[in-house]
Amino acid sequence: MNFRRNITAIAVTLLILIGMGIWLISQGNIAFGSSMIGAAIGVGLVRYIEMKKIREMQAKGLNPYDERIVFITGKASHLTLTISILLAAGFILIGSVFGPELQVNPYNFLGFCLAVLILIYVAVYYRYSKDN
Amino acid sequence: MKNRLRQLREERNLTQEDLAILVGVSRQTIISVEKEKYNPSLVLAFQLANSFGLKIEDIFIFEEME
Repeated sequence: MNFRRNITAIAVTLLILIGMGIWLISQGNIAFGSSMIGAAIGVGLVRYIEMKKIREMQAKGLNPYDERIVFITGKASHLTLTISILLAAGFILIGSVFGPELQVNPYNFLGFCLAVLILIYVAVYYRYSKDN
Repeated sequence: MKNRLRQLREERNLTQEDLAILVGVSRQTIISVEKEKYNPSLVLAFQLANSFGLKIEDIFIFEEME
């Protein structure tokens, strides 16, 4: 995908998220709505800066997605998967033996799992990036 | 794996960025190879050797693992 197409995709996603945020606020869910707008703007800005850097590197003739990055992402993905499986297995085992039965909102729970997964990946990627 | 990349690059008055452009990787990769933190693939090792007009074994020193 080229730079312009990427920017358009980010802008459209941002607009949808901001629209949803405004709709949530109009429905009285001010905290969730404003957090969604804030997060959308934050992520949009970070992505824009990142893409601009990549574009500058490519313009110089450098390759931002070279073999070292592929090596690090591969190792980070593998370790993230291993950690996630072990965490889930431990949680299931301990929870089913000792824990009480809980009523959980599946959307909140999946959101929490996704956030944990991303955090593990970022931490592991940073570590491998430092070591390699 | 030990290597003489930094020494060879400096002898030819090349910056890390120049070398990265020459072999088509990022500057960070050249830094990591020079610091011996990252062992390049065979393809990259050949590209680096070719860019200096040398053989791979003139740049990289293989050491048997104990």
